[in-house]
This record gives sequence, structure tokens and C-alpha cells, in this order.
Amino acid sequence: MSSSALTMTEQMIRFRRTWPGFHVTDVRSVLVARGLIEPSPLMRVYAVRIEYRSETSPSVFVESPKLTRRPAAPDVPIPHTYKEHDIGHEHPCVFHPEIDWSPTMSLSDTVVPWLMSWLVDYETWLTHGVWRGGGIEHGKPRRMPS
Amino acid sequence: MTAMEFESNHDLEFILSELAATLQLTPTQHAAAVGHYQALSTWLSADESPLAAYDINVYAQGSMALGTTVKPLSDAEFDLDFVCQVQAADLDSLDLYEMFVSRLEANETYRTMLTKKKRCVCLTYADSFHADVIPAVPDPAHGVSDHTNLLIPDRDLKGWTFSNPRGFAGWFKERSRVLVRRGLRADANVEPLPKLATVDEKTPLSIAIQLIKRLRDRSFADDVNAPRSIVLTTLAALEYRGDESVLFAMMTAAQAFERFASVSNPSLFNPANAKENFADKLNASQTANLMLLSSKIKTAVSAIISTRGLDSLREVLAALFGDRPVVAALKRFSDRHNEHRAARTLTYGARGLGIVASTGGSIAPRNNYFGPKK
Repeated sequence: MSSSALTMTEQMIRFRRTWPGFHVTDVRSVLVARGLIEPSPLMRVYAVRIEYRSETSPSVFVESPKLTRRPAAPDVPIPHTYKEHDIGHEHPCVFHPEIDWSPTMSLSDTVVPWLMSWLVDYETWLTHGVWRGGGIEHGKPRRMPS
Repeated sequence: MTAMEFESNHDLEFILSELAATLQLTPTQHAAAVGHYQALSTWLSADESPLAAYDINVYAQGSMALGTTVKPLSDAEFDLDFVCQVQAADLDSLDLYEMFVSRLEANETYRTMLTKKKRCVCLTYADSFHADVIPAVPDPAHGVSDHTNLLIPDRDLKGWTFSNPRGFAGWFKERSRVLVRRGLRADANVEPLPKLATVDEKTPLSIAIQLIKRLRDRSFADDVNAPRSIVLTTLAALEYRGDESVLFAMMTAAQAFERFASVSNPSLFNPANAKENFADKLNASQTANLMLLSSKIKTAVSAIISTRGLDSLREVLAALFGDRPVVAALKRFSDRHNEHRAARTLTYGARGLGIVASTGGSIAPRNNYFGPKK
């Protein structure tokens, strides 16, 4: 792994090479990658969007199908999401910005598989209401699935 | 539908294997059953037994011998089938039966558990087992070196009937072998499905039969005309062509059931003994139910392969096989995903994550889901 930050151009080239199905653009210094992911043939196909401004943390969004709370427990927010109380606008927190991510990393090799894993744990949570993927809650250091 | 449509979905095959593993007898129950026939063997061959003059061998036949056990629904009793093989050439059929029964009745415990039936003795155990125990002698028509072809006393006929449970089990094992060469497949670089830590080595055919039997149990409950396990097992195994997909094995079995049920007065001989017809007691209701089961299997397979979303899959599978085993199987899938994440062995690629079989691509780096409290 290179020790210096990847440029936006390097990020775009790597992204297109690894995920040729994605549409990658650079709009006013924000890299936006849109595409379909299918973490498992058992799961839904998700249209997702990744946004990245140079040397910050990338954000990931699920465009469709929309993330939903469990019909059996509509009061419970979706675990490990940003905007967790803004129903319909939640987006996944797939990594810890200070532990997992650095601008030396390639978006294509990190956030895409991380989002796939998050979606496995999300659909599992939808299935029976337990988050089995571990993670770190604010102020509670716990790293991997227990 | 072709075999190819079923082949690439290792994740689904994994869930079905886990489901079957949850449905079968637990290792503890299996050990308890073995304990029962070992105790029986000890009692029947003890010095004071009238059968002690002969070599006696008690063993399991049926689903326990084939690795296709399915736990009964709710708290119904599990039916075991044991053979008590007596190496005698000189016994009359009814003499064998009476010697066998009188030896069992000499035991305080067995006497209270025992019911005499046409060909067997039924023992009802306190720990939710029923055992049909068949006394048998080797069939001399097959020569002295053959110990698998048997004669079984029939009290109504006052004579012998024919069977070959060990020969059948050997035939079934041969049929279960996966014949498809991995190298001939389109996705030759995938890893084989993991071996399950279960009582028996599982094969796609045995898993398919377990799922079919569970569907049968849930569809026909206590109906005496529910299709019999031996008929389902034999037809499914005859039709099986070595495919690795459980769902494909279920589809081919459904086709075999339908064809068989369309014939008038069908016969189904034990492939290891042509004198034993498994269809000899088949009536019109059983045939109709076999046809019904065939269509239920086809509907089930179509529903399963067209379902997307783990939560939707739970609903579809639970309606077919029961919720508890399905949730357990889905948890095993989730465990496998997170075990790979923790071990940093989770591959990814255009076809998704390598949760069950490696995608052959790169390994996902470590990540910790962040965010607010759950």
C-alpha cells in the first residue's frame, strides 16, 4: 500500500478498473460512483452511491431499494446508520473513519466490499432483529463481531 | 429448468444444507438410538437367551442407516427401524418370531414396551423413540456368503417375506455420490461446499430427501396415506444424476414422483432385492398424495429460487419447512460471513462476497461499522 494519499484521478481509475459496471464522475472535486451491487445471490440487488471529496472520509448511500426499519419494530432505528432518526434518509456507516479509513486507500477495495458486508448484516437484522455484524458505537470501543 | 440454473448459488445450497442439519436427529438423539439397539443386541444374545446359539447382529435400517433422518413435527415420536439378524438356517418363520418375542418378554422393561405386529415387534421407548424391530435370517437362496439378503417372518402369511436393508443402504450410498466432475463446470474455481459437522456425511441427494420428507410431514401431518419414506427415497435416488444442487435433486425427484404416480399399479422393487416390492401396499390415496407432493415440491423450488432478500427468504422457507430451523440456518449463514470478516478471509468481486465459496477475487480489508447506538 502506498504511503501517500491517492489522487482523485487515481481513485477514479482504480474504481473503474475494479467495478466496470459503476458510473464514476468527478463533479466539482467530488467523486461520485453509482452502480449496482449484489452481495449474495440470496440478497436483493442494491443501487448504491459512493461520494468522496479528496482526503476526507467517503460516504455511502443506498438509493434503492430504500433501507427500511423492521415492520415488526418500526420504532427501532436501523443499526449503524447516519441520520438514523430521519426515516427514509438513513445511510450506512460501514467503517470507522479514524480506524479503518485513510486517503492512501483505494475506495474500490474498501468501501464497496464494506458496504456489501453491511448489507448482509442489514438483511440479517431485517430477518430477525439482531445486529450480528459487531461494530463500534459512539463512546463504546468494540471492534469486530463478537 | 436446467442444472445450470441451480449451480452457481452456493449461498442457497449452504442454507439448505444447514436447514437439513437442523431437521435431522441431533448427535445426542442419534447416540441414544444407537444405545437402544446395542442394549437390544446384548439382551438377545446373552447366554441364557434361546437365540444365543446363533450369531446375532442388531442394526439400524431406514433413515438412520441412510443419513436421511427428519425429526418429527412437534413432539411426535421418532420411528426407528432395527433389524435383528439371526444367523440361523434351520428355523421356521413363526418359530423365529416366537423365539424373538419370548426372549424380549423375558425382560421386565421390554415386556411393558412391546407390541406385536405383522412382521415386527414395536418397542416404545420413554425418550420419544418407537422402534420397529424385525427379526430376520439370511436368505439361503443367495448362498452362504451373502449376509444382506434376508428372510423376514410374516405372521399373516405364516411364511417368509424378502428384504435387503443393508443392500439397499449400500445402493443408496452409491447413488448419492456426486458424479459431476468439478472440472467440467463453468465456475471451476469455486471451493466445494463445506463439510458439515453432523452425524453423517451429507450429500445433495440425502439433503434433498430430508427436505422432501419435511415437506411431506408438514403437508400431510398424520394422514396414514402420506407418501412413505422408502418410496420417496427410492424414487429420488433412482432419478438422481449426481448433480451438486439440492434444489435440482428435489426437482428431479418431483418429476420421478409424478411419473411413478401416473402409472397404474406401479411396482417399485428394492434395487438390492427384486423380490421386495416397496409399492406392494400402495393405494389410490397414496398415489394421489404422491402427485400432490410432487407439485408442492415444484412450487417450493420455484418460490425459493425466485426469492430475493434474506428476510423474504426466511418467510418463504419458514412457510415450507417451519420457522425455527430456517432461522437457525440463516444465522449460520450470518456467522459464516462474520467469521470470514474476523479472519480476514472474505473475498469479493463482481459476483458479490465469498461467504460460502470464495469468489476468487481480493480479500476485503478490516472494517468496523460505526455510528450511533443500536
